[in-house]
Amino acid sequence: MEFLGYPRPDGQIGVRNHLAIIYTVECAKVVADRIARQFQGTQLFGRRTGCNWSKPVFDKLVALGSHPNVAGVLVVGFGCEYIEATDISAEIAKTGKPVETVMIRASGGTLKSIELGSRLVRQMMLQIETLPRQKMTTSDLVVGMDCSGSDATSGLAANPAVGVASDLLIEAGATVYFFNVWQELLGLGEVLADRAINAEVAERLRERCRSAGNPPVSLGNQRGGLTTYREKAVGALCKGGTKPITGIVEGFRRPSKPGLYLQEFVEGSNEGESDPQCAMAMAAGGAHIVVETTGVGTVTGGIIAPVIKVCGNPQTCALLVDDIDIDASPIMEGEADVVEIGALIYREVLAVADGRLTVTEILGHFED
Amino acid sequence: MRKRTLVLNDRDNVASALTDLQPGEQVPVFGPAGSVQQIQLRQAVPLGHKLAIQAIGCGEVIVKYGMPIGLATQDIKAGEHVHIHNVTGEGMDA
Repeated sequence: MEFLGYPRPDGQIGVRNHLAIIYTVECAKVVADRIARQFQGTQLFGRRTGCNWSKPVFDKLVALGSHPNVAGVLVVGFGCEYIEATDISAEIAKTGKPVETVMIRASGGTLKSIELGSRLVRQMMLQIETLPRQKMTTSDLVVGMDCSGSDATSGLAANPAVGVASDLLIEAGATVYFFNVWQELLGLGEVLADRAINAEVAERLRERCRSAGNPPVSLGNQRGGLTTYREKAVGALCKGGTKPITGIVEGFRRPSKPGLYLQEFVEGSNEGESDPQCAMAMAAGGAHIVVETTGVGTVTGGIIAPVIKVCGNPQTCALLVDDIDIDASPIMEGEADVVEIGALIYREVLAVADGRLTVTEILGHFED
Repeated sequence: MRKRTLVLNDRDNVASALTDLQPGEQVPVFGPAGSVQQIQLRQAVPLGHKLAIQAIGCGEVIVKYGMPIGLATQDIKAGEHVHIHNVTGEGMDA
């Protein structure tokens, strides 16, 4: 299947044409936010806590600014923080896209920085509007699969259906990341290693999952029907589908070969383990689009990569009807099967790649 | 037709209940290649919980999603509730 994407000077191709505003430190956030508010549709994100040096955070911000869904970037720094805005800009500029920098202290403070930054953004936004489009296919796509707010329905409806979509995407030549926080991998070493494409990947997966034992299942989970930790872990894992595992996403580098990859947080790069942080991590790793399954429901989205919400709980779908893209609850009602909902999710991913806005995009849920 | 059970993989020996199932009920369980077997519930199985769709011996693997998720701690008959009282998560490979 073909759709129109946005080609970038470095040869990458994206499914959105964002102007990103990156703040390097909390002290720069208000100025960055005020600049963003002058315009319709910028993507604001940055480092919310701390001003010490952190290579993982630096790399993450560079990866997000360099993302193919981003057309142009403004980096806003104060001036004394260890992650220097000019360094971030210099790295992102290697992609060939327009990048500008505002240093609040050197520019003369809040109001002058807001004016300077706003004029730079205005200029860039006019520039990026004229960029030509280019055909892209599923083999250009990277799609991230993530769980959030799981409940008993997640492992029965939403995750298996997303797994079907993962398989369809891989068959169509795409790259799929399945995201797990480390606790979800405990005890799964052999299960994952069995699916690895070669012995080297198998060993790395075993290494990653090495654990001291089997944690118990919570009472809430037990009441919902989950019997063992393995059952819960596999229920989360099945969002990645059934295809062989090609590897593990290394840092924020998109793998050179298409296929199915395990992704986790790069240690030290995230600010907490929230749903938006997971979505951000998937985007930083190169995901064009993130599919998020939920049971109890969430309203959050994420920056840079559009988030598609899939919910399998009938009550949640009725309650949060405005915040769900794909209602997978007919599986729980016995009225649809996993395969047909999976096919629906696959088609939604392609539609979103082709430009359809997701619910979180329309509602402006660009949490960072 | 509204299904009352869900089997996630052809290799599974359990099905998940999509509604509270009562003892004595007969429910269709959909298996590989569109096959259907009728299973008589021997016990109540609440929504989201599992029922055995074939006999599972003590020490045998409980298979869901086509993968081992636990070991039976006693003999389990088809139609029985499969949960913490007759399954352990210990003793599987790391």
